[in-house]
Amino acid sequence: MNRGKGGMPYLLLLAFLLLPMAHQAAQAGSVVDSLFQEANLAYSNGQFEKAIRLYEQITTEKGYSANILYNLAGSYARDGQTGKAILNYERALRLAPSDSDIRGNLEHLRKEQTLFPKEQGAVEQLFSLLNMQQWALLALTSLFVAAMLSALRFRVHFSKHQTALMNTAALLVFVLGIAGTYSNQRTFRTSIVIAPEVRLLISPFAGSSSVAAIQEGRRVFPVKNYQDYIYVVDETHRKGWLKRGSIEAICR
Amino acid sequence: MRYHIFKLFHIVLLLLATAPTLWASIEVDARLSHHSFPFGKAAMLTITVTGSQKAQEIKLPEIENLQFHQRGQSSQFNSINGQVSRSMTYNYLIEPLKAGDYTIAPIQVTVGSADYTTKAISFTATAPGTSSSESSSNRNQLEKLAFLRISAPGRHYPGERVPITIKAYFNTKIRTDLKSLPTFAGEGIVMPRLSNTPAQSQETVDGENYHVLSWDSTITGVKIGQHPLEFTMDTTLLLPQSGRSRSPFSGFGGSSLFDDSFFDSVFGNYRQTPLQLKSQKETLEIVTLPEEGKPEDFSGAIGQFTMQVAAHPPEVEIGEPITLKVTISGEGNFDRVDMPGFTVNSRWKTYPASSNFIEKGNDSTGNKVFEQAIVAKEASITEIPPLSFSYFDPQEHKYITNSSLPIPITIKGKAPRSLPAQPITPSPEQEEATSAKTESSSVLFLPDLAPLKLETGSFTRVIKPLFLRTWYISLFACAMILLIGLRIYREIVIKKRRNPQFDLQRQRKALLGKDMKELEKRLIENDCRSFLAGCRTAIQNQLGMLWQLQAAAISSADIAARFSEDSFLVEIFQVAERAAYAGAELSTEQMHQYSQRLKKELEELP
Repeated sequence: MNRGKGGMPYLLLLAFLLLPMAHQAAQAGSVVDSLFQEANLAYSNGQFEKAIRLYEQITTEKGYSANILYNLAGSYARDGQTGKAILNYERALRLAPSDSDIRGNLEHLRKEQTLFPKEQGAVEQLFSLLNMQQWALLALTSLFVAAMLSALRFRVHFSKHQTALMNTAALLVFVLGIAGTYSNQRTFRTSIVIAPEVRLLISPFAGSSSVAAIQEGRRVFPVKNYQDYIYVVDETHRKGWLKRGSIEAICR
Repeated sequence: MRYHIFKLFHIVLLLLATAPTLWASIEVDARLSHHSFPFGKAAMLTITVTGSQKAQEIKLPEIENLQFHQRGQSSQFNSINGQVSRSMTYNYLIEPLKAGDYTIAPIQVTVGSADYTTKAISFTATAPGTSSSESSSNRNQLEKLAFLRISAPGRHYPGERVPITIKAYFNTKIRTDLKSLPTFAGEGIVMPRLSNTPAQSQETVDGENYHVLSWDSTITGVKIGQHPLEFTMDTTLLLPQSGRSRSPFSGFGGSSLFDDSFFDSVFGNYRQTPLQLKSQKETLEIVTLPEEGKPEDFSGAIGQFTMQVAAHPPEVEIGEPITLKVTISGEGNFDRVDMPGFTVNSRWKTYPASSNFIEKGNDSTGNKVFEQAIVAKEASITEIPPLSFSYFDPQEHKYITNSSLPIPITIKGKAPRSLPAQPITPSPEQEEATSAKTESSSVLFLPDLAPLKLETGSFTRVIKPLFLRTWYISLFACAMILLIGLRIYREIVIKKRRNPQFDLQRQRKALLGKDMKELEKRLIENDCRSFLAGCRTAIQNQLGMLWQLQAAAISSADIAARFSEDSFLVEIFQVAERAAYAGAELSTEQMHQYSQRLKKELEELP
């Protein structure tokens, strides 16, 4: 019995059905690519507004990618819109936390804007050794390692001492991973001040007294809302009310 | 023959006599019986076509508020001095629907192939009941059919909402068309618009049944003094007319030729009669509010009111707003009810209040809810001060002030030092950085930025943290299940190792299960000898494991030694042994019973 040829017609049929979809996907991909190239060209020619418009169009139609957000952030930075630049660098970093270009540009821009965060405590410093994704992966890995060790003990005999040590180590790494994830998850709820000359207000009303000026590009953590205002705490621990349109969340 | 000639002669003579009329000129004339008559009556329009032919078509003009009703035609022959003429008369009853002056435009009459027009005719329909005593008497009769009544308003204060009831009575024998809602004319009184759907009921007044329309509303006097109050309402009554009543022409010198029932009814025995209803005259007296005892915060509210105050949230950070909700309930002029305010207070910042009136039945009864945002300026504040609301009670004839209790609140945090409107003065480093930034942004040059990415990379619709992604959650769950599962399994293994009996029991159970299955098979085969041998084997296996002896070596004596004589195991073992040598005959039912009982006994072994 020759089984090989029996499935061929079905494969051909499947390919035939999938071909239009593949073609459509390829076409969509090529449209995005051409938009991307056009945006890059506009950037190179100093037409930053056009570049911004094209990159934004890609994100609207196709979604977010670390590279698109990175280029978009660069366009905003060149165009003088620091807040939007930092916002998009932050977004790009969420998608590609280990990309050194993104991290480098972001730090450079924040330094240029004198956006220095408050000094961190020991615990904060510990948890900032890794980013949130790395802590989450660490916690997951520790779980699998603990499961593997449990399985291994059916075959290999470990002393009580060794067993206790392994369990403790796995638990410690797991707890650290969870703690690090929790500590850094706040960064996903962060917003960025995108408007220039924004003031932190005492009360959520126009004409209310101001607590302090807050720079464009500063990270803030929303706490609660009241009508058109959001109560925030910034990275230097100053608190106050900001008008809703003056900040934008990093994560969407 | 002669007779026929004679007849023929007369016919020819007749024809010759009428021949001139065929070629006679045609005249068309229109006349009105009366050029002035009361509205509600009618007049006769007569169109006469003089000539030998009758009219093919008469085009009556369309005149607003004037109706034409055909009343037949007649013909006439005249012979004067040998001249014979023929005329056709067309009669129309004209009825004006309103008093006023009318002009009937020239009427086009088609005779043969030619068109003729009459002269225009003017007439006047006078208003009813203007001059004659008969009209006055008619009006009195009409007023008995329909009338208007209002409740007496009394004595009140400026701005006070005074309830008033307006009732329109219509005799149930007549049909009525309402032309307007009740209205009043006068200064110093305001009233909201009446509803288009009044309440309806029936009442008996002086032995007559009336259909009653009622409006319950309020009036408000805005000026001090006595204000006359009278309501009017335009209606049209559809009055029935009896059989041989007087014709429209009687009493006007009309010809008795028309004084018969032919001209009586206009709409099949009903006649439209406009009538303006007028209520009795009442007076609304408005007196000044007393000055004595008038509270400072009195805003003009008159009625009966209660007040409730609430604040939310009870705990706030410094600078965070509190919503103050004040509800004024009751009856009165809510348009003069304002938000009770704080007394002048430097410790609170207040913002404009919003209000919402919830009606209960009418616009004088309900709840008016005010919401106002207030902000404590000091962290030391522990309560919201009492609020007061003053109004004048017209029944008690005095001012009443409602006060709320203080509301405890908690203000958390230190008051931040608020800054003036001017921007803060930057430090020299910041200034330098800012000026550098300004320079660089104006030049749009950031040379230290890494270059662009040349590939798009992979896309995602949402920027989600890793721990919220599906694959991460799935892997996490799998790892947890695996870990917990392995732990549980390990515990079982450890328990087994620590308790040999546990394992032994498990083995015994497994073996018993196997032996019972074998017995079932033999039972189905109905092999008695083999079944009993299986029973013996099962007993030996279980007891062998229990006593740590070889199963095959266990005999009935061993069993008898350890179990009582009446033990089922002893009995069946002996039966099985006997059957091995001498055979046995057991019914299926017996074997079934043995199987069940044996299983029970073996399971109950320690």
